[in-house]
Amino acid sequence: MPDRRDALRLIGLGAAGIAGRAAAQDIDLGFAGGRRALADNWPQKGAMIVLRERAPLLETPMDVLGEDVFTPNDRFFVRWHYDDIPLSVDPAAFRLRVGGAVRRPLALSLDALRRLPRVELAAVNQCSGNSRGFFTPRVPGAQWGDGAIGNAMWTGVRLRDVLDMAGVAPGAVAVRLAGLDRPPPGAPWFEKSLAIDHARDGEVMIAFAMNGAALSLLNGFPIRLVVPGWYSTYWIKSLDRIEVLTAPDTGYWMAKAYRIPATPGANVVPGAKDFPTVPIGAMVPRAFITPLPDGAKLVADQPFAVRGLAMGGAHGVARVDLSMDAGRTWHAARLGPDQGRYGFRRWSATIAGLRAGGYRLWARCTNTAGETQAMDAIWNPGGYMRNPAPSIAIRTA
Amino acid sequence: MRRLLPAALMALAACSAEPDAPAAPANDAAPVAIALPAETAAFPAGPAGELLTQHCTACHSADLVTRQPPLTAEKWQATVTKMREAYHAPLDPAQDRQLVAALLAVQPR
Ligand code: HEC
Repeated sequence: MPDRRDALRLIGLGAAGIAGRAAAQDIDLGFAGGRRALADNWPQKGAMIVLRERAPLLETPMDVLGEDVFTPNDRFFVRWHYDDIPLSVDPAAFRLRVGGAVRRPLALSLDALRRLPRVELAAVNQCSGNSRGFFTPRVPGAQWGDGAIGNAMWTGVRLRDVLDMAGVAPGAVAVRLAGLDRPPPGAPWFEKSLAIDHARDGEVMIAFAMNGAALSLLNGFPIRLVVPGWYSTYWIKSLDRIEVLTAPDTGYWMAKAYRIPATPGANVVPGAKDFPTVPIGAMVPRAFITPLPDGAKLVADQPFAVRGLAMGGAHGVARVDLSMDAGRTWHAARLGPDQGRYGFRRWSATIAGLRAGGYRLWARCTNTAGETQAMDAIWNPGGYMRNPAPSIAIRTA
Repeated sequence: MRRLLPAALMALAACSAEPDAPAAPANDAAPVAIALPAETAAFPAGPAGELLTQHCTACHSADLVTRQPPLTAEKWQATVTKMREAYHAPLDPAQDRQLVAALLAVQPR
């Protein structure tokens, strides 16, 4: 597999081109109103695309995302709902409370959590509304490009072990989770819940480290939930409350927000209303094509390298295929090492020389459950779960 | 549980000398505090912008509003209603028409 430097040499771009690119001030996400500033003044963060200042919505630039299977912590996207977010945490005073339908309500210190068996897992964290800015027709909400996503190696303890310490009482149906962020007066707490069996599946994790380092405050210090294969709305940051419920959660953030049409692929006709909905849940497969550097000149009749990342959603990546003819024929890309079914997987391919001209290259991921990306995008009014096969323009001269 | 390795195994596999890697915050870890950058997002100058600054920046910065795609009056009304009903924004319904007009006035064309 060619490394990054080989790939750049193949497409005839020197180191000067890379330096010029890093200095860019503005990013155009590719939809109307998608011009954003790249700012490097956010705490514990490098240069991020600022979508909203308060509460922070910070997006990862796509060229950074494409660099490594694991997204650097200081470039990992940030998404809070309410503006009263934790700006300081004292680990000595911090407690994770476990209550509701349990035998022994708990208030666990970080040391108590650290004594539980430790687990580690690679998993993609993706906002439900990632890529919302590309919806056609457009929908209200945070106008993300493709960068509200990242992959990390998460380290922590099993949610199941914490629940077992408290002793789940008979009749439990769900587990509600909440963190240190606070709502405006009268507004509902940002709380999400998982079915009890999901919460106890041994994979849902309370993480205290990502990529080997403590979480940043903006990404949920000191601990956050990791729900492998599910959208980030469930990955409660700065988790400090766990409540076992004996009836389904009827709170706003489960019953009213983050709901998708109960149709295949969460797809409805644009403008449709009054269809049944369900809470968003498992992610769907996606491939990303690492952008070719701006102004990259591809030499006619010379092979060139393309690469990118893929995720399978709630299942592993089975394959990534590429098409140069709008999806009529597909050719398998090479897959990089498997770092766990919930994480990103690298793909790469060498494209045979093309006569001088303009082309388009599509990529699509198929997961181990056989779900694959369609050429056409879905639509729903929340702007959730977008995953059409991505494409890039290619010009050879 | 193939994918979830107990910590002991991980340490062996990585030949790590560190007993408690990686960085799990302990009770005696130093407090962490951050300061956010000063807010720069704002509505455009003028009466529409002033009205929206007064009513729409208590809970989020103006950029959330100014970055919405062009929306119809009906969609903006739905947003204002949602702010009041879902998030308890103290918005007098008698003022909705004025707010919607201001939102239409400042949105990109
Ligand atoms: C009481 C607090 C509050 C006030 C006041 C408020 N909002 Fe919001 N608004 C919210 C919250 C909370 C969200 C959801 C934020 C998130 O998900 O990150 C939101 C989201 C939005 C969104 C994103 C789309 C959506 O439906 O979620 C828009 C647009 C918006 N508000 C516009 C407005 C406008 C216009 C006003 C003034 C008329 C306003 N807001 C006043 C709390 C408020």
